[in-house]
Amino acid sequence: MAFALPVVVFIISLNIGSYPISPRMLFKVILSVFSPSSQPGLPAALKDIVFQIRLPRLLLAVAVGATLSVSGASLQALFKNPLVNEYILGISSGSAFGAAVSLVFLGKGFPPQIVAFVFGIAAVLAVLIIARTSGSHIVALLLTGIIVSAFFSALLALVEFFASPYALQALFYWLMGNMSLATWRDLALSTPLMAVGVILLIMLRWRMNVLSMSDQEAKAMGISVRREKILIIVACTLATAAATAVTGIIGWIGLVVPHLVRMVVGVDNRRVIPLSASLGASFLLAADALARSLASFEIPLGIFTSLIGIPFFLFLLKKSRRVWL
Amino acid sequence: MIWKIPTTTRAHSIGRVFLLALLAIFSSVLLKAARGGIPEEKASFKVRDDLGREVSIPQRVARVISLQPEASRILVALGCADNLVGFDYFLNKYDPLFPRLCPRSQNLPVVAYPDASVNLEHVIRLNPDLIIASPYDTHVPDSLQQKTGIPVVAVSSLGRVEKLLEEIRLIGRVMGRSERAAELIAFFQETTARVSRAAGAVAPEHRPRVYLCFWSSLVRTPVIYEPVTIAGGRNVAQDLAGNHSVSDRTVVSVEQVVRWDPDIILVHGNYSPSQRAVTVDDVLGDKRLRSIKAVRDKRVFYTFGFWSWWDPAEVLIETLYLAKVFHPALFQNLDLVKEGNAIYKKVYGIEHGYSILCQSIQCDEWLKD
Repeated sequence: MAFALPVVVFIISLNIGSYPISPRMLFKVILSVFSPSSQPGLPAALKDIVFQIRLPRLLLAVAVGATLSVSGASLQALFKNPLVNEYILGISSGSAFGAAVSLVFLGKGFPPQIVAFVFGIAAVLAVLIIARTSGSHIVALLLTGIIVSAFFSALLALVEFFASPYALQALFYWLMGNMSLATWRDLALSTPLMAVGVILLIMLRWRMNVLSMSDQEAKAMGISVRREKILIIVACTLATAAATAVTGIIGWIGLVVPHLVRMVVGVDNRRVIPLSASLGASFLLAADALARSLASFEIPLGIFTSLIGIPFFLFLLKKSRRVWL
Repeated sequence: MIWKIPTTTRAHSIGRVFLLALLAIFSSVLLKAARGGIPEEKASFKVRDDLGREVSIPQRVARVISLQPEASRILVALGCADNLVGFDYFLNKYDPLFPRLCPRSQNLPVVAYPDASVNLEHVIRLNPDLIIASPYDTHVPDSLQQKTGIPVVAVSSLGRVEKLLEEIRLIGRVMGRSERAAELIAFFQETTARVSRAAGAVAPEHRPRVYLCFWSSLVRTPVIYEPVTIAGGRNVAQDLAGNHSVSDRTVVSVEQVVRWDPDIILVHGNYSPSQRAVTVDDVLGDKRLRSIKAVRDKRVFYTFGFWSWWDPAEVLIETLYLAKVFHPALFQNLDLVKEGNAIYKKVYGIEHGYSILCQSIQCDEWLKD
C-alpha cells in the first residue's frame, strides 16, 4: 500500500498540467512509445508535453522527494534529534552559495547545478573536518553545521550585494526551489547520486536503530560507531547535494515527512526509512502538482512545501504524545 | 541627627551645565529628526506616484537624486544631467552607454545598492530637493521620505509607453524643462505612430503571437510589453494577471509556452553575449520546445527588453526593430542603424549612439541569417 501511493500520485500528476490532455489521450501517447504505428497522427506537441516536460519533472519529484525525506529521517536518527533536517550540515547554504557564484560570476561555462553540488559537498566536508577533533562528536557536528551554514549564508549575502539585478533574479528563483525547467539531462546528472545515497541509507536502516542507543551499547553490539556515522553522513550529503543542485532549496520535506511516517508505523527505522522515501516522493509529487495547477503562474515549490509543512509541523507538535525517535 | 546639607562645588556646577547643554542639543536633534515631512512653505504641487502615495513636490527642483535608472536616463535626455547629484549603482556598472550619455556620472556619488539599501547620511549630505525611486522596491520610498524629510516619488514605465511619456512629462515639469519634455514626447508619439500606422495594415488575427522570455529565464515573461503591440504583434501572456503589485511580470510553465504555441519567441538580449543565461540557440535546441511554431519556423530572436526599466531611446529603437521582426516585408526598407543613431542624437544629443550600443550587445547581428 505504502509503495503503491507514489505510483498512484504519479499517475494522477501526469494528468495535471496547463496543456489539456484527457486521460484517454494520455494513454494513447504513452502507448505510442511502445507501438508508434498503433497511434498514427498524434500531435508532436502532445508527445513532447508528456515525454519531454511532464515525465522528467515528475520523475525528478519522485527522486528528490524520496532523497530529502530519507536524508532527513536518517539524520534525525543519527543525531537523535527530532528537529534535525536534511540541510543541518550546511548543504543548503553551501549549495546556495555555489549557485550564486555560478549565476553571478562564472556564467554559462559553469552551470549552477555543478557548482552548487561542489559547494554543498564542500560545506559538509568543512563540518566534518572542523568537528572531528571534538570529543562529543554528535553535538560538535550539529554546532559546526550551524556555524558553517551561517558562514555560507554570509558569503551568499555578499555575492547578492555585488550581483546585477538580473543575475539576482535568476538566483532568487533558484533559491526558492523549482522543478519547472526539469529536463532528462538534470535527471541523468543527479539521479545516480541520489539513488546511490538512498539505497545505501535504506541498507543501513537497521544500524540506525543500533546507533540510536548510546555509543557504548552500539559498540557492544559490534557496530563501528564512527565509521557508520560517517557512512550515513556521506550518503545523506551526496544524495541531498545532488537533489539541491538541480531543484534549489526545497525545505520542510526532510523534517515533516519522517515524523508523519513515525506517527503511523512507530520509530523503528527499518520501516521509517523506506516509508519516508515513499511518502516523501508522494508529498513532493502532490506539492508540485498543486504548485503548477492552482494559478496561472508557477508557485515556487519551496514556498509551497513551507506553507504545507509549517502548519502541519505545528499540528504535530501540539497533538502528538508519542516518543519522537 | 542633623543631616549635613550637601554643598555644590564649582566642579559640580560646570559638570551640570555641560550635561544640560548636551541634553538640550540631543533633544533638539531628536525633535528635528522626528519631525520628518516636508516644510509646508516648500510644498507646491501634489502628485500620486505608482505606489499610490500622494507626494508634495517643490515648485522648482534644482538638486535631484535618482534611484531609478529609467528616471536618470530621462533626466539626461531632458538636459538635466547637471541637476543629478546622486544615483544608484546600476547605470555606471551595467549600462555601457550611460557614461557616454552623462560623462559626469563617473564622479557622481552612488547612494543606493543592489539590496535596495540607501545610504541615508549620504543622501542628506547631498541635500536634494527630490528623490526619484523605483516602485519595485515598495518599502523604500516611505521609509526614505520619513527618515530624510525629502519628498520621494516612485515612478516607472512598467512596460507601458504611455506611462513612460507621463514620467517624462512629470520629470520635465518638476525640473522646469516642460518644453523639452513636450518635444521628446512629440518625437516619441510621431515615431510610434509611424510604426503603428504601417503595422495597422495587418489584420489583428494575422498579427504574430509573441512570447517573451526575459530576465535570464525561459519561463519569466512580462505580461505588459507595449513595444510588441505597437509593432503589430500580440503578447501571448497579456491575459495573465501580473503576480506583483507594481510589476507586470509573471512566471509560467514550459507547458504553458507549448500550449500558447507562439509564432515568434523573443529572448531578452540586453546582456552582453557572454552573460546571456538563455540564448536563441538554447531555445532552438530545446527538445521541449521543438513542437512550437516559432521554433519549427526558426523565428526566435533577441530583443532589447528592460535594462533596469527602459532607456527611452532604446525602447523607440526596439519598437522599430520589432516591426522589422514581425513584418519584414512591410518594413524591409527600415534602416535600423540609421534610425537608431538618429534617435540617440535626438534624445541624448550624442552621435552614433546605436552603433556604440551594438558594439556592446551585438544587436546589429540579431536579424542576420
